[in-house]
Amino acid sequence: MTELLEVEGLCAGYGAAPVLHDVDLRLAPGTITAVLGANGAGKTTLLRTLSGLLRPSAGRIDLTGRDLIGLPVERRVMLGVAHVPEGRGVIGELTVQENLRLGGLWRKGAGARRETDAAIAEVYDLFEPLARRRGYHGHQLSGGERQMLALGRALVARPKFLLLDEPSLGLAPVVAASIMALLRTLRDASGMAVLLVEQNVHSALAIADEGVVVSLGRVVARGKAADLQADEGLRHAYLGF
Amino acid sequence: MSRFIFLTFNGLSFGAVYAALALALVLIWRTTRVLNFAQGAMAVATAYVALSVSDWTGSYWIGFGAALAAGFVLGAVVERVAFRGADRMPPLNTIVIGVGLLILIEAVMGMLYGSANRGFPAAYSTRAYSVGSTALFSKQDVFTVGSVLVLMLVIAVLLTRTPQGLRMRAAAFAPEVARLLGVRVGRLLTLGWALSGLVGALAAMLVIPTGLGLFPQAMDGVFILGFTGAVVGGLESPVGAVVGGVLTGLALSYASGYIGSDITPLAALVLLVVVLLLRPTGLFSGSQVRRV
Ligand SMILES: Nc1ncnc2c1ncn2[C@@H]1O[C@H](COP(=O)(O)OP(=O)(O)OP(=O)(O)O)[C@@H](O)[C@H]1O
Ligand SMILES: [Mg+2]
Repeated sequence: MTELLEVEGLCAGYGAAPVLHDVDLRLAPGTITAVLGANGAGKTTLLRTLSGLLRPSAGRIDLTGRDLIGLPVERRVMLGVAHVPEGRGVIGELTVQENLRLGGLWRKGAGARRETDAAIAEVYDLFEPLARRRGYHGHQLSGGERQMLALGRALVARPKFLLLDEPSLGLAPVVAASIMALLRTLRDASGMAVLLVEQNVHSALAIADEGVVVSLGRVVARGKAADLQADEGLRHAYLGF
Repeated sequence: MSRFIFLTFNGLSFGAVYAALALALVLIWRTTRVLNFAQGAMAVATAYVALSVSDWTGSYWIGFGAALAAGFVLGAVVERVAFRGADRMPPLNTIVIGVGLLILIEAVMGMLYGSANRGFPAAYSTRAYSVGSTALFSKQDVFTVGSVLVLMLVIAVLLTRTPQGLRMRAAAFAPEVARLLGVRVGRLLTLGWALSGLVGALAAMLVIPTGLGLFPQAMDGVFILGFTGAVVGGLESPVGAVVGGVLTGLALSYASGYIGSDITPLAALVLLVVVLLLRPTGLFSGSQVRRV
């Protein structure tokens, strides 16, 4: 299978303090990969390095054969990378509609506006509550609505590679479950590769195809989601259930 | 009553200038957390550009346009050269840079043009129209208020109705999120500084002819009043800056008209203290704007 994303030997950190050590990763199109690990394991750092917010000290990141190292965040967005950050990143001072519009503003040239409008319409179809709150400001939304907005805004870009940092954090279980189910639908419909960081190991592995377990900045286990879930030793050592 | 009307028009005219300066300060503050102490000096520099260009071309309006263009360019250059990365600097550093720049610009102007006060003509007559014996406002006052109003409308439309404005607001509110959505935040910061420089230039071109005259420190006092307006308005909000600037103009006009012109600087202080006592974050800073 040809991979969408290939990461090799990735090392990164903050200042002189290394956090990620020699991380390898392969994502196929149309798959969800769960990134699991304890607090401080380096999950967010991995996502920030992949989207370009953080410069790696070594390693290779290939997206459909294109080297991303050295490209700034904005260029990676144009190549199809969308990162929904920890805490969601909904801009509270902007309206729902403006937040969504922002998700497509990287598009250039003729037809850009039309494509973004179409993508926004799809997001409104997907998330009914957002459609009813177009003019609301981000800070007027509930936690679940914000998550819909953050995810919807990333989808407006129609990304090839979607990075999600703890999308279910702070959500009621039923809302979290519906977001997870939606990810599955999106994966099947769009063919994008999703890298999903989740604290909720059960629900993440339930929808993921693959999983990687990160500990102290290293990948300590990887495999089919179902296998990881069944691996009792692993569960005890790293996943705490 | 007639005096009140005159003082009101006078206050609005000066208020428009303070509003412009306040807006210039706020455009930068909200994106980079820099309080640009060199704003006034930069604006004076553009007025010198107007002077030179008008001399060469013999046209007042070409000089006027050159000042606005120079303000735009100067704002961008100052950001690139002096304040790049300022949002990550400790506040004290940006203050030191700003004050250093203020001294530098005023010194360079002094070397190039001398420190003498040069007369600078107003675009229109500064003689007030009167009805009966009541002096109202001059053509220059109308031009001042009108041009500030037009520029503010243009900026408001830019910020709220265009893709570039949406990018600018996103970059100001949440730079990292904006980058994740493909916004080139660095460029937009430069654009914000450039706009700010242009607005400051307009303020200088309007206020210098009305009694101040042109000399390197011409805007030092006006800067303080623009700053007062910005703080009264809450520093965060462009609308607040405009309202704060106009309030400052009116307060000063009434104070100097009814109490005496010696009191003017004190009136600004009183306004500042009263507003900050009632609303410590300024009139328009937002309890309604919660950061996410
Ligand atoms: N901005 C920063 N500067 C310095 N060190 C940081 C910074 N952000 C994170 N770290 C360190 O990097 C390590 C990994 O942090 P990271 O945020 O990637 O963990 P995480 O797996 O996402 O944790 P969590 O589950 O709590 O979100 C931690 O030891 C943390 O202290
Ligand atoms: Mg994290």
